[in-house]
Amino acid sequence: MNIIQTHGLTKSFADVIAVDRLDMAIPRGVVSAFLGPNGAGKTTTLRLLLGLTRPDRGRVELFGGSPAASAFTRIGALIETPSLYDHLSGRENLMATRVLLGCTRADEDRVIEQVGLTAAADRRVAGYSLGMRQRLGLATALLGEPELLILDEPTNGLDPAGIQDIRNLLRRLTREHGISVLISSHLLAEVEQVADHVVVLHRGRCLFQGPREALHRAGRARIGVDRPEEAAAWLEANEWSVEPAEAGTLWVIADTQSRRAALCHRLIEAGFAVDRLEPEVSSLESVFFNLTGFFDLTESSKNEETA
Amino acid sequence: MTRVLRAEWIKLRRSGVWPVCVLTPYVIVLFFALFAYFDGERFLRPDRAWTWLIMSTLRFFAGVVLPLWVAAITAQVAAIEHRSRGFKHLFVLPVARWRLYLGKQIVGWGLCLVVMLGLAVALLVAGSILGWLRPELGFDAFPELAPLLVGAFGTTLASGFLIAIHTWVALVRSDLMTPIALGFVATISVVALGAFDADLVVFHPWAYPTQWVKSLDGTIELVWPLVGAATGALLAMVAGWSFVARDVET
Repeated sequence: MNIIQTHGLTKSFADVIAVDRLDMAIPRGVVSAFLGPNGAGKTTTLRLLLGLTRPDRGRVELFGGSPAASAFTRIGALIETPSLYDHLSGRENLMATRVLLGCTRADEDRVIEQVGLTAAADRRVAGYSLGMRQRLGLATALLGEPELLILDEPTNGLDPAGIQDIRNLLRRLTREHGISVLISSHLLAEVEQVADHVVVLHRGRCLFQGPREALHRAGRARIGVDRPEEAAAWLEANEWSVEPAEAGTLWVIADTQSRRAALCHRLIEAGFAVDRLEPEVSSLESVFFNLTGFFDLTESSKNEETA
Repeated sequence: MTRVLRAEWIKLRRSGVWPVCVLTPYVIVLFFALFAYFDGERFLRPDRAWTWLIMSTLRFFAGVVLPLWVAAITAQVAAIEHRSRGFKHLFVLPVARWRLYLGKQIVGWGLCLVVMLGLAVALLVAGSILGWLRPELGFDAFPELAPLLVGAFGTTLASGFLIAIHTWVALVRSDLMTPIALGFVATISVVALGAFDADLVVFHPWAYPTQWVKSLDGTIELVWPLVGAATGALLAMVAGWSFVARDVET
């Protein structure tokens, strides 16, 4: 069962579409990651999931139902920068949230220890480094023992050791406590190391969603045909994204086995002779840039046609 | 609701709110006490010395200081959330948003009561010191406490509309300028209106505390605390409804 599901989620700000007809499913019990460049719509999507912003269209399902107040007892969240009261100590900041959640002092001590802030807990937050603030924000999100943790760029501002600690913590929370984690990130390495499930966002659109291993195979497939230029024109006319490759072959975006099978089948039906079809297995980085690059190319050619 | 208020109490620790609450009444009372100390024999009747000190201070406080103080203190309370971008954290917690809003309103009312009780204490302290330093002025006998406490509670209730509107504006606007400017404009307008038309000024919500304090010297008019509290509660409900339905931008 999916812990989060969105249906046609759309949100615009003035004339900018931040999230565009997003259909997304986040599985339970794993670390999922929103991957996308700055401005891809990651934070807006998280805000929509948490009810901080209302969608123009579409809807969100949390824990298999409409988001109700009771759902938020099961969620811990950290959106953008942590919301911390600088004039209070780290412990007092946690206390302000703890009393609202009805948690105990022991819970407070537990999360302080979990994020490694025991020594600095009684210092004023105004003197905290960016990394310490991030840890305290994470501790606040962990306070109510949530089933779902939603974290917006959780390793922002952390030093390498801190980043590793947080990544280990997230994996441990999933493995040992069954907590589902959804993080947003623009760091490919982070997603590579932490995420089991990946959603690639670009310009508010979902370009890929599925297991991380599948993302490595996502994106391009090289196809050899007898008349490459004609085949490219035919594929573009039929809404496939195509780029010429070397020696009479084409790169085509076909991210799943069924999509590749359909590509082959349609080409043969259209009268082309297909002599090879191989999915590209490449690094996450190259897959990501292929996906977003293809998207940009397709969008700009559409715009040119419209103009 | 108790949890919300406990959280608010924690957030007020070491904030700038408490020094403002404690110092404001003492500064104002000191001004009137110095006036009495240096020039008291010219205008003070020994049998009315306490009445003069209490009523003059209360009138000035309710008419000029309190509206500006409410603007400043509600802005400061709201700034605790704005500076920390606290609403995006609070609004994803499993606590009804209206409770969080109501918590801010109650804090406004509570702080107003604290400052009014502080004013009452400051008046007693100042009068006692004057009685010791200048016994001839008539501050030797201690005044009755009950009317002073009634005055403090009544002024708080009569300020209900001010507290409600300033809390709302300060929570909606993240800049300090808007709520402070509203306080200035409204206070100047009520003072100006009072100078020109004493009949019309009673309809100005910022005049409710002054009208109440004025009545303390004659027949007590409970209508002002009641109107202040009722309009304040009504505005708080409408403003709260609009506040909880909006998107959280910060």
